[in-house]
Amino acid sequence: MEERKTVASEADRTAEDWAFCPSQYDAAAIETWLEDRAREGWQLKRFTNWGGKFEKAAPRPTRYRLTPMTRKEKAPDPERLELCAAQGWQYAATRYELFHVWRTDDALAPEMDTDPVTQAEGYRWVRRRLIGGLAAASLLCAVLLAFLAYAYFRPGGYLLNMAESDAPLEGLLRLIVGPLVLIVLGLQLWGMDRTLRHLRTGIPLERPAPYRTRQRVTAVLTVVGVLAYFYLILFSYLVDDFRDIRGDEAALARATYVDMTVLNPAAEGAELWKAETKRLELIPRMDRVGQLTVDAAGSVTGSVETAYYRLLTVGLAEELERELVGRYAERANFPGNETRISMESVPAGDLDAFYLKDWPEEHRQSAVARLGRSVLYVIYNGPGDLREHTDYLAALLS
Amino acid sequence: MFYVLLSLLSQERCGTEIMEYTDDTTAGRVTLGPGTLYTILAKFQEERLIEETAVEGRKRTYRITERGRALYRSELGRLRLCVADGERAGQRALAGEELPGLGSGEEEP
Repeated sequence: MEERKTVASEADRTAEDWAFCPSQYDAAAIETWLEDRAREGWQLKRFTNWGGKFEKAAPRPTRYRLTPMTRKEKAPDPERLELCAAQGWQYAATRYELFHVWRTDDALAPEMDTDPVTQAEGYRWVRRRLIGGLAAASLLCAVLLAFLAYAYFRPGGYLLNMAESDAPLEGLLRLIVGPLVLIVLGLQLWGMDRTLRHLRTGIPLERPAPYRTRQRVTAVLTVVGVLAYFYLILFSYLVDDFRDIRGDEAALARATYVDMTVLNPAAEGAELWKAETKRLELIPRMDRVGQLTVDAAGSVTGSVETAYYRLLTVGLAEELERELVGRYAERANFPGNETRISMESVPAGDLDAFYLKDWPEEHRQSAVARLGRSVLYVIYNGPGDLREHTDYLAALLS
Repeated sequence: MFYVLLSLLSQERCGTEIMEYTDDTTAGRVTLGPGTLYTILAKFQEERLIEETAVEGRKRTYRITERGRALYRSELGRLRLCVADGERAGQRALAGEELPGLGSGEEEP
């Protein structure tokens, strides 16, 4: 029986736990959290990036105190360790470049800080670090916003570039991650300055300090922030491509595209050489499909390529329509051909907008059609005239 | 802050000795927590009010500088004035409170 108890306590002693730290800079909140954990039977072993590692111990009331660093140091100097030990305080851990953490089980040990005004003085270095963090976050925010500005202003059109090169959530995350970090750090600075104002007027830190809600919010923001960071930096480029659906009959059936046989009933055995799809927040549906026909000798006799976009709002669809018309004109500037060719607006009662460019000698046409939130860009090589099929295009877009 | 300068007036001392001196001098009335003491020592060194004279193992010894002595004298003067202010105001307040009390007391059986 006695032996079993020894084995159990040995297992308990080696058990470890990890928990999110409720705050980076709020000493009273961290102290209260550590004291609650001690009462639950977990004593702080060390701090990690976003939390603390704990080891199993007998549940007991332990006082924890954080003293702000006054300079960059990995651990308190030996004299301080001895002085604190003489007063009943043991060094527990260091919160990276911010605080030294002390603990005592002795209810009679004197408070670590006996003068709030002096305690406030000790926060100068920590406050400088927080402001440094805020400056770094501002820089990060500026870089992310610069990416967005570049994406918006670069040639080719913002929506079209986004449609072609962005991964799902990429633009949204770039827009919110930087300001979110700034807001979090700004709130921390505000909280610290509020605490320092209290200390400087002689009011000691309020303990126990509430921390549970903040701990949950911190945990959620940290997880979201880390995932967003790794997604943007490491993974977004892996998922920014269109998904090939040529072998997926169900997806192909849902895809919207101009069918070669509708434009040219004589075209038989049209071959699907491209079929792909993609979804983004602003453009919930995009399909790109290409068909061609070949003769017995293997020469291409006709082709049709469709890019279909369904956007979140009519306004976005109108913007994409403008970008497509503009980009098409630029694409007409083939090397050696400096003529800027614009698409012409053609009246089409079935559609909200219809633009066409015609190369009659080459039996080639391209068109942009929009109906409500849906936009279609089609390049057609073959006999016939897209102007005669606006009802068909409207049916596709409706 | 005052007691740290006071403790170093007559001799050099280390951190533990400063705490003990303060505790002894005030008969435990003023407690200097280790966190407070270290913040004060760092600040005083930065302001050149005290300076480190020796490091023996874990023990660092400090002495007060001329600048520190000047601040001590100034702080002592300020505290004397504070006490004088308090005594004057206190006496007036006490006198004002006692008069009606005395009058009513005489009439009671």
